[in-house]
Amino acid sequence: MAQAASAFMLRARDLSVSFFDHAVVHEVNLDVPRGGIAVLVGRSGSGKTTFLRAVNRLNEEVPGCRTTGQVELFLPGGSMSLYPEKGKETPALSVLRRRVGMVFQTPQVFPVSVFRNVALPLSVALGCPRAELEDRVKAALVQADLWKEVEGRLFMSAERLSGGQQQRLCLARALALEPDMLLLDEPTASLDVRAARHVEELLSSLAERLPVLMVSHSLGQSLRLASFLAVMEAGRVTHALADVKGMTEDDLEALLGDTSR
Amino acid sequence: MRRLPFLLFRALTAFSALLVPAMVCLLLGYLLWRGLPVMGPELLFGHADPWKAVLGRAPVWDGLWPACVGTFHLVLLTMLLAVFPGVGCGMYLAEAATPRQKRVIGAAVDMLAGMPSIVMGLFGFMLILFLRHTFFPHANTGLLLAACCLALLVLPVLVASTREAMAAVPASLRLAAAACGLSRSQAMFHLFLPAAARGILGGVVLAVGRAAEDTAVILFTGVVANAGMPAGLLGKFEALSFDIYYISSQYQDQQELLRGFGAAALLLGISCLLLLAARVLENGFRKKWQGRA
Amino acid sequence: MGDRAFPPGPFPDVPEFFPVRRSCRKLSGTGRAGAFCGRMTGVNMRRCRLSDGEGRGGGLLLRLSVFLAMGGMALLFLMIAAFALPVFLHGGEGGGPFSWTWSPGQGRFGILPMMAGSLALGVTAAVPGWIMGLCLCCWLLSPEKGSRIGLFRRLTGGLVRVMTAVPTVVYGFAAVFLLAPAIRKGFGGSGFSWLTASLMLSLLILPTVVLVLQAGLAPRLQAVEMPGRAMGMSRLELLWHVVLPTSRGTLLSAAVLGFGRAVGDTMLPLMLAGNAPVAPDSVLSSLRTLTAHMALVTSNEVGGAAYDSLFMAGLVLLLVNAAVSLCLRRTGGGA
Repeated sequence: MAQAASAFMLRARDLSVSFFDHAVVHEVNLDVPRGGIAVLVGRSGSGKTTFLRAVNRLNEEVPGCRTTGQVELFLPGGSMSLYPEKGKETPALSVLRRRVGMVFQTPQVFPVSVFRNVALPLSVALGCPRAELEDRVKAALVQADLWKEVEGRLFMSAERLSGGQQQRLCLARALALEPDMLLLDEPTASLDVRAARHVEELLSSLAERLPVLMVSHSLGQSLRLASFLAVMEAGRVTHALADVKGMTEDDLEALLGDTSR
Repeated sequence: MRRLPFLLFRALTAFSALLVPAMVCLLLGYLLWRGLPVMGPELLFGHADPWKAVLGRAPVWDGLWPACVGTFHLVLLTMLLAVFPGVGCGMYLAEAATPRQKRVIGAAVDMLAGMPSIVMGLFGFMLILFLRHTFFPHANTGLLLAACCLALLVLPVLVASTREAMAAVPASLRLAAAACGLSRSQAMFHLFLPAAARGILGGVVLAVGRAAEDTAVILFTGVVANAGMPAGLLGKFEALSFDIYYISSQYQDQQELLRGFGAAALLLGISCLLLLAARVLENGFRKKWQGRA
Repeated sequence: MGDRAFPPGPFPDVPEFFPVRRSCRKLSGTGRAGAFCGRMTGVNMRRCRLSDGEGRGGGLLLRLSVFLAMGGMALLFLMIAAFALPVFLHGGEGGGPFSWTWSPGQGRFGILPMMAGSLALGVTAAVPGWIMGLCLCCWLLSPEKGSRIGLFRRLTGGLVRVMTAVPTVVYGFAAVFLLAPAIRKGFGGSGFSWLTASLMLSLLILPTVVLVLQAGLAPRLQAVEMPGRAMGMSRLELLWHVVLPTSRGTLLSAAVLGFGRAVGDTMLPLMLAGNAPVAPDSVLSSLRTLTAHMALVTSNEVGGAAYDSLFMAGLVLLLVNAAVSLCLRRTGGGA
C-alpha cells in the first residue's frame, strides 16, 4: 500500500474551486506521478494557477473562495488529505504551507533585506534558533545558486536585486523551509531569456531531490522540463501525458484546445 | 434662461478662488509680519540666560520657554498613551476584526472623531470631580489628566491612518507570506507592520500636530498661565496654545502682545512643519506600494 | 493523439534530501518517520498550534489595545451621561438649565441662550463655509488646459491642506487683532460679534468641506469626463450639469460635517463672539455658544448649579455630534 502510494506525488479527486459561485476548477481528477517536474499547461484563464493554489490551500486567502473535493499529497512520512473529510485528519495550514513551498509568477520578495527575506520565515514560522539561522540561510542561497551574487550584500534591500535574482531569492526562501514539495506558478514568466534559463537549470537539478509541480506559460519550457504534463482547459484536465519525449510544440499546441474560444 | 444659474456659479467659483486664499494669506501674513521680527532667543527666554534656562537653573518669567517645554511634555505623554491603543486598534480593524466588529468599532471611532475637543476636556474635568467625591479627595487637574484626554482626542486619527496603511499593503505580499507558512498574526507583526510603518508614522505625526494645537481640552484639565516648568505628572503646566489665548485676552503691555504674536507664529510654524512631515512620509509610503501617487 | 499511459514505476520511494535536512532534525528533535506531524514537536508543535488556533483573532496585544481604546470611549460616554442625566431628570434649582436667563448672582442657570447661540453660529458659519467650499472645490477640480493660472491652482490646493493644520487658537489670535478692529470700524459695536465669529468659523471649516467634497466629486467627474469632453462641455459645465445633481449624498455629508465642526469649536467663539449670555438679536450683537460657555464656567464658577449647566451643555454637544456622525454614516452608506 505504502509502496503504491509513493508512486505519486499528489492525487486530486473531484476537486472544484469557485470564487463567488463562479467555478474556476471543475471536478478535476488527476494523479501526478512522483519523480521529475510535473507541468501544468493551458491557456490563460484555464484554472491552472487556481489548481496549483489548491495544493497548498492558498486559495483560501482570497475572499469568496469555496473548495470541494479532495487533494491527497504523498510526502515523506506518509500521505495527507488536505481538505476536511470524515475520518481523515487535515494538517494545520501553516504546517502544510511550510512543507509545500511555493514560488510565484512575479518575484514576491518581502520589503526587507536579502538575508531577512530568507531568515524571516525560518525564524518566525519554523522557530529556527538564532544560532542556526546564518548557516541555513547560506545553505538555501547556495541551493538557489544566489550565494555568490549576494554574498557581500546580504543586508541590502532585496528590492534592489534584479528580477532573476529576486526570483531565485524567492526560491531560496521556499527552500530554506526545507519543503517536501515545490509549487511553481510560472516562475520564469517575468524574467528575460537568460535569467529564465538559469532558473530552469536550477529547477531541473532540484527536481532530482524533491517533487516539483509547476505551471508554465511556455510550451517550449514545458517540453524541456516536464517528465509529466497535464493540459488544462476551462477548468478541466483534458490530457495527462506521462511521456513527452519526441513531442513538438505544435503537437502540444494542438492539445491546448480550441483557440477560437 | 438656463445658462444664468451656471454663469452665476462660474462667477462664484472664481470669486471664492480669489477670496479664500486672499483671506487666509491676509490673516496669516499679518500674523507672520508682526510675529517674525520678534523671533529669537529673546522670545523664548526673555531676560534669563538661555543656557541656564535650558538647564533649568534660571526661571524664565517673560519668555515662551516654559510653555514650549509644557507643550512638549504634554505631546510626548499623549503619544505614549495613545500610540499603543490607536495603532493596535487600527491593526485589529484592518486585519483581524469580523465584519460585525468592524461595523461596531468603526462606528465608535467615527463618533469619537466627530466629538468636539471640549467634550474630551469636560470628560477630564468630570473624572477629577468623580475622583474627589470617591477615592481621592485631593485629586486635581494636571499634566497626566490632560494627556489622557488628549490621547482620547487623537485616538481616531491614529486608528484611521493605521487602518489605511495596513489596507494598502498589497494582496500579493499577503499571499507570499501565507505561502511561506506564516500565520496571519505572524505575517502581520513581522511583515505588514514594518511595511506599513511609514504610513502609520505619518498618522502619528498628524496626531502630534493635533495634540500640540488643541486648546479646549487643556483649558479644563490643568493648564495655567504662569506655572513655570512642568512640576511632574500631576502638576499644573503651561502650554503654547493656551499662552496664545491668554495673551490675546489679558495682555498688559505692548511687549507681552508682541510675545503673543511670536507664540502664534511659532505654533503656526510647528503645525505646518508637522503637516509637511506627515505628507512626505505618506507620499513616500504610497509611492513604494501603489506606484505613483 | 490520445493520452499516454502513466509510466510504470518504479519511482524512488524516499527521495534523497538535502544535506541541510539534518539541522532540521536537530531542530525539531524527531526523525522523519512516523506520523505526519512527527516533525513538529516541541517548540514547533506549540508554535503551529498557537498560530493556527488564533485564526482570525489578532493576538493578545491587539485585543488589549482595542479593549483600551473602547474602554476609554465607554468611560467618556458613561461619565458624561452619569453627570448630566440627574440634572436632566430633576431639573436642578432655580428653573433648571432649560430657561432663558443666565444670571448666577440670582441663582438662574438657564443655558437656552447658549444653545440658541450655538445653533445660530453653527448655521451661519456652515452655510457660507459650505458654499465657498463647494465653489473652491469645483474651481480646483476644473483646470482648463493651457491656462496660465495652473500654478495658482496648485498653490491654492496646497493652501487648503495647510489650512487644515492651522491651529484654531492662531486663527483666533489673528482675528482678534485684525478682523475684530476692522468690523468695529466698518459696522460699529465692539467688533466681537456674531458676524466676526461666523466669518472665522466658516474659514475654519472650509478645508474640511473642500476635502470631503473633493474626495466625493473627483471620481464622479473622472467617470463622466471623457464622454462629456467629447460633447464639448468644459469640466465646470460637467460639474454643474452632471456631477453636482447626482452627488447629493456627498454635498450633504460635507454640509453636516462642516456644521458639526462649527458647533464643536471652542476657541473661535470664545475669543471672537463677545460671550454675552443672551440670545443674539442682530449679526453685530454679542453671543455665547455652548462651548464658550463651558470654558467660561469652568474658569469662573466654583461648583453647584453652574456646574450642572456645564454637564448639561456637554451632554447636548455630545448628542449633537453623535447625531452628526450617525447621519454621516447613513449618507456615506447611501452614496
